[in-house]
Amino acid sequence: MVEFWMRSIEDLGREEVMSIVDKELHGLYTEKYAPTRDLIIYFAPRENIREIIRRLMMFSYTRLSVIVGNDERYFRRDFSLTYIVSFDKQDLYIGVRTYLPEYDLEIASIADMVKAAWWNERENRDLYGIEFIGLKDKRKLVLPEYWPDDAHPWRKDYPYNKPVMDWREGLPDYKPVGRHEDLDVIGLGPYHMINDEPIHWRLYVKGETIVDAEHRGFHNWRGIEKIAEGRLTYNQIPFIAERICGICGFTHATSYVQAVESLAGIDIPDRARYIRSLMLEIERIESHLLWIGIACHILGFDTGFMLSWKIREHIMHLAEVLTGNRKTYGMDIVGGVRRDVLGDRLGKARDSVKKIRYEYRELYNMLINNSILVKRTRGVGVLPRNKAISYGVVGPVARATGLDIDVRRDHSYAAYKELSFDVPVYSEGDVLAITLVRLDEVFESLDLIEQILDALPGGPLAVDVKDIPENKEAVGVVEAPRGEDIHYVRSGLYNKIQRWRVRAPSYANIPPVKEMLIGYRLADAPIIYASVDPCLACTERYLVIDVDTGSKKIMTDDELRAKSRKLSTRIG
Amino acid sequence: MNECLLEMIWVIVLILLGAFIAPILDGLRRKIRAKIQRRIGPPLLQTFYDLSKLFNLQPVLPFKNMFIVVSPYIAFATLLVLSAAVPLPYVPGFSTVFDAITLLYTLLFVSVLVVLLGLALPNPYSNAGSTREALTITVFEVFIAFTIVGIAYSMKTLNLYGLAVLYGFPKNYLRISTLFLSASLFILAYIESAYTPFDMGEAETEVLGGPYLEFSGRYYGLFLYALLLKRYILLSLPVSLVLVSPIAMMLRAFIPEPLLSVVVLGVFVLFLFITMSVYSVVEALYPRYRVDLAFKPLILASVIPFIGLVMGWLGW
Amino acid sequence: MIMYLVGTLFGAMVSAYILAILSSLVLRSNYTLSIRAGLSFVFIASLSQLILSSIIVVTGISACLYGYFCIDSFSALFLIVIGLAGLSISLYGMEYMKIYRGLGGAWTYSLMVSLFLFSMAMLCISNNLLLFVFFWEIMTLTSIILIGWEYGKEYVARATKQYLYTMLLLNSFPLILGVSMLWASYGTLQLSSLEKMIDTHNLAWLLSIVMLYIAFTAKAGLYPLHFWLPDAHPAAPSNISSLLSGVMIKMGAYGLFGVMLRYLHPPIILYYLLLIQALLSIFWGSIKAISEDHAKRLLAYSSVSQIGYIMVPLSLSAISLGFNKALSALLLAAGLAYLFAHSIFKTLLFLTSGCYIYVYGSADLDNVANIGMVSKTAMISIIIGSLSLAGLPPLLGYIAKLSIYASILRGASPLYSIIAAIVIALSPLTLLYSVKYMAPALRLVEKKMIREKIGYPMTAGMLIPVVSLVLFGLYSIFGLFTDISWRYYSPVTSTAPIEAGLIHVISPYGYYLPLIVSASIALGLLLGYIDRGRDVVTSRIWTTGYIIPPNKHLLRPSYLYIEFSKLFKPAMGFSHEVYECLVWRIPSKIVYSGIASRITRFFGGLNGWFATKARGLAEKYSRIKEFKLDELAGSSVLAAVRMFGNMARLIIVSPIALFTTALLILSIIVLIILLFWWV
Repeated sequence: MVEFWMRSIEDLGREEVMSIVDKELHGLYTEKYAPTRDLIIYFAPRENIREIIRRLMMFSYTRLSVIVGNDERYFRRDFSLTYIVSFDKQDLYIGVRTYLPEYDLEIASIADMVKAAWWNERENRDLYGIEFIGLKDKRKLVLPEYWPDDAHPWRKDYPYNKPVMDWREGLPDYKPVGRHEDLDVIGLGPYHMINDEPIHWRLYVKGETIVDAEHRGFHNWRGIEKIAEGRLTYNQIPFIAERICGICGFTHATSYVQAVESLAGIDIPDRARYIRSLMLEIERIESHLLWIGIACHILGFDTGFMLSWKIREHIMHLAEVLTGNRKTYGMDIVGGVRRDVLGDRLGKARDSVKKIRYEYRELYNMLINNSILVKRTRGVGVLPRNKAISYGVVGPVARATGLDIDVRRDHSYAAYKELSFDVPVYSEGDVLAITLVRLDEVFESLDLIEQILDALPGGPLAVDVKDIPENKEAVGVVEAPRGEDIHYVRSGLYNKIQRWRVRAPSYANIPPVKEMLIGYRLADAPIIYASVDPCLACTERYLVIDVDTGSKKIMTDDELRAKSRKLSTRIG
Repeated sequence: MNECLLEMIWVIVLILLGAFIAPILDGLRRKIRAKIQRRIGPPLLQTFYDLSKLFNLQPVLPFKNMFIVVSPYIAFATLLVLSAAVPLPYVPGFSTVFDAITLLYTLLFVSVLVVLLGLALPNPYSNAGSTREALTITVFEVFIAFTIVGIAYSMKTLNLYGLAVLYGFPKNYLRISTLFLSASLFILAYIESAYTPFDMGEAETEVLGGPYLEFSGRYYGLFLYALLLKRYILLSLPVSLVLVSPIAMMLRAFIPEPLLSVVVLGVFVLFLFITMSVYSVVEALYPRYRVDLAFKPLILASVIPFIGLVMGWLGW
Repeated sequence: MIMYLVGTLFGAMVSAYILAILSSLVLRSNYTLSIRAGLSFVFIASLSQLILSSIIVVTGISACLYGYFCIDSFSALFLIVIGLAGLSISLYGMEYMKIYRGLGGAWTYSLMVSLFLFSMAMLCISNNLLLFVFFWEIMTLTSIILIGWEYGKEYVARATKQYLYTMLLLNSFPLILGVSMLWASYGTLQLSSLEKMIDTHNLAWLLSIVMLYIAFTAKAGLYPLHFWLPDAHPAAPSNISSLLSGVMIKMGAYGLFGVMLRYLHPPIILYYLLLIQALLSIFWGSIKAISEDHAKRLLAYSSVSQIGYIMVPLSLSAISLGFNKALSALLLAAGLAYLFAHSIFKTLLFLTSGCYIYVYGSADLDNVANIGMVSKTAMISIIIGSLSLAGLPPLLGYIAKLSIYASILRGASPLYSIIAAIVIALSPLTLLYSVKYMAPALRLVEKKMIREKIGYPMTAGMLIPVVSLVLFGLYSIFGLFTDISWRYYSPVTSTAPIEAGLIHVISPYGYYLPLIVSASIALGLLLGYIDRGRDVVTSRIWTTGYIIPPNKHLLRPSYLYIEFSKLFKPAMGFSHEVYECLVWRIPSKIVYSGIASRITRFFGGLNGWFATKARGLAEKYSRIKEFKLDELAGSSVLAAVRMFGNMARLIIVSPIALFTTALLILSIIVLIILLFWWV
């Protein structure tokens, strides 16, 4: 381990780093190519993958974003694995690709070296049947325990509509990894007060002190990518992508269309870029306020919860004014946006931003001056920096551990290059730091919305998209409220995509919760878990249709329609 | 015999008052919290509706065990009888025979019953809740001890009725020690009632209601009612001694004896509502403590009754 | 007539003890029979002792034998304590000793138990220091043998050795030294003569007082000298542990107050020291008990803390003797009440810990569960005993605790109020460990490891203390203790009751509080009985959606207060190290190995000398044939009449008393119904 030194590349430019990486990996790869401006893919034999990843991870600071498995048997009778490593400061993604023949699906695991690979490897093992040698945790990640070991749903020869096997044969049996005979077990979820979505944490405790923790999730996983790959056209996917999550749906849609635009080489109009940024920031504020409310609720501070959600009502109303929907805006299409933000509504938007800023400042002061709130979060759930790097955490969690990354600035997209904003960074790594990052970001987002409203350029909303080139690949990346949301898209034949991989930020942020829990109390467990703002809908890629029922009684379809119509009229 | 009959009637009246006003006070608390949180909030009688709903539900319990079935009834019956012991000046009830230590220890008995139930069930959440409850009781006892001793030293009695009457005398009321001890009584009632910063025991988002987790239907309803009664009894201590007693002392000159009791009762109810409103405002402003964080403030708070005790020694 | 009754009972008691010894010797070839026979006679002896001492306490007479043995109300209280414990453990032991069948030696057991009880009874009534020391040494000797019953086990051997050495160095040696010095200076050991001869300017007197003080506090297990107790008490069989914790440590209190304070005019500063030791005991015992997860060790530490609770009012009583005699009597009464209550519930609790061992084969709190499934009586005993220990109304433990608080608060001075505050503030620590003791046994999880079922003798043995706790709790017997304490200070006048002293602190009707509380509890029981869970649907424990085995899905008792215990960890660890070095490691290397054998031999010889001396004395006085009983029968009848008159007056006059009496009758009926239905 002597050679495990870190080489700082933070100040270097993109070209420089590209040549350094070339030099570093010399002899280990066979060929390389650059499908898009910000993605370079190295091809390497599988024996070299561990060494290549080790060398790439030695740079300070790089992180493993995602491992994309692919069934490429139509092209070359092989399966492929692409390890995508992010060089944040250089706006660069480096993919390392290896091909595994169908009859010999084995590769050395890197999960012991890079913790971020842990879930990715387990997922590829479930879905493609690739064996990772040395992977300690052999449990299923996304598939249920009773799923047969030889059925891998993401192979292309596994039909998307094949029925699930007879699950009545055995009950889903949880196999704990830890052998803690002298400890007591507390199950936290899937049905627990703090779990808005199903996840199971198994806490091993001594008294109330957590000694070890295990995770089991993906109860609602249903293979949305498979549906997209098999059946939908390019422009249908944004709508299903937006329904991956009820909170950060627009980031998924944007991320997807950016990937497609990138691989097809489409430049979208300025107005569309600004509108996308506007909606993304509105979504960020909405998501952060939701989180603040939930965090207050978990800490027993219902007043903060109610006030925060009251402000969130304003922002959702603003979204409704601008797009006609409170959530799930349905704005994105490949090549631009669908709906314009009309001029007379911009004034309303400015007013409501002012109102929100005023009310939010009050809430902010109330929260940071509340001594108990600070005591409950300070020094709780500390994620050390080296662990944060190893797990490849993103978003506010990373920024709370002192990692200065923000996709909006680093891999700039939409209109962010023309806008000015600060990225709040704290170094403590505890829940308080994460909270402060989120609290500060709301102010930044409000600023951004005002800037966008001022500088919104004219022009068309979208360009005409003729053809999407076949067999090309790209990544689309968006800073979701929870962090980097990365979509890998590979185009296929017949105007369909061949592979779509969604790696939501929570997918990177939930695994380290295991480390964050250890040593703290049962009382801290909910807030520690909530501090990463876990979005299981994103992580597990199931569909959530966000239903905001503001009404007191259950309405019939007609009534609801009438009411919506009335509301729309009022806004218009 | 007329007096005895009167005493019996007052015991029944006080029990009925307790049974009726405890849920209303909770309704008031919810209403005021809602106002602070800019909500409309439930109606004042919502807690009654909740209770009646619980009493009509079919109970689901993990075990059909006599210990589990009987305990809610014991808790409820004990607190119901105890609500006739709330100290009220010139209102004879059980308070004529109860002393403060017994009152607090009987409340403790009910808490211990709940703690035991929580520990008896094989559920770590209720176990953890019970443990927290027990620890909070233990640590807060320092405060209670100084308060009791301070009051016993200053007023020379711990008999509840005696306290309720004696507290109002200007020579007792207008003292610095009384000021501190009165403040301690208000704090005692707040903390013992497990209002928000101190509701570690049944923290819903952490331990899912703690000891009450496995209870449902009328058994949970009884526990809930018992909890409300406990809060009412605790609240009645400072309200009656500090607020009602001096007013009763003043009214004594103008109103004849039998009518005085009724008037005192009215004043008492009025002040209950006012105090509850203040408590609700305080409650809405704080999140919950973690149990180890709560140790320090719980211990530190005992400085207040201690100052009261020292002032009592000095004769101030 | 009462004189004859007392004489007969005394004779019956002594002869039953002797018969117990003889029968166990005669039947020594049969394990079960020798134990049963021996313990039956112990039962008879305890019963007659109990009746005898009850008569003496209620009537207020004192009875003397040769002038060397003298029973007055104060020592009769101790006889009651011994008698009650003897009743329970003799019944209990008949069945419980089954599990020690493999060790054999049943006759030794019966012999030792009867000797142990006999010696304690006799030392409480001996009026001569020589006899006192003689019986004291028999008590120590028999207790050593009983503690080392399972000598083959390593921890038992260690505990026995530690007990032996500690008792030799800290108990027998100072006791004998002190008594010898007294004899050397005054030439007599008759207490009543010593009382008149003591001059407080004598160095020998001072030294002997200090020596006796060390001996008695070591026996009582007060704080710095308590270290042997948590090892020794759990090592013995459980019914013996009951005697050790329930009775034997009270002999220290008897020595301090029945002998020293009464006859030897000790300097009062010593009782300030005692007060500090007692407060430290309360704190230290509670803290250690909270972090303990072995049932019997927990109870042993609890004894350390409870002896502190007994000693606080007693020492305050000695302190206030100089300036306020009524207060002093009140405090003494409170201390005695707590002593009485503690002996009952601690006996009961050790018997229930025996149930753990009997049923589950281990007294580890992590191993016990759902005792109600095995025996309802054991469950009720555990609940009642622990709630008494925690001092919750309406049980006897509460009455005793309340009398401590009330009597200390009565002494309206800063010292008294601050001590009252400390005692009240420390009391919930008791609650913590009593919950920790009781809750695991009530855990509603399946436990497959059940060794034996609990039979009738054990049940009966546990029911005696349970019934006493409930009954004595229902009608506060505090008045009786004030009588005893008043007689203690002025033996001639037994007609000045000091219940009036309580008025300022608790209500005049204070005795009826437990009635109200228990009536409401009975009301709850009645409602629960009517409900009976008729439409309850049972479903699995809520494990938040995943199946987790129920025996894992809980917080185990040993980790319950781990966060709280952590606060005291540094102090505890340091103190443990110090004790380990001072008491065990260094002495066992230096003292115990080489010098100890010589010291043991020396003290053995000394004991033998004392024994011969005692025998000679016995021969000398055996010529006198008649009992000499004091003629105070008339006043005792008056006292009884007064007590019943008081009760009747209160019941007739007060409507609330009437009301509560009615509720009480209702509650008793309900309790009887429930007992029939449960058991």
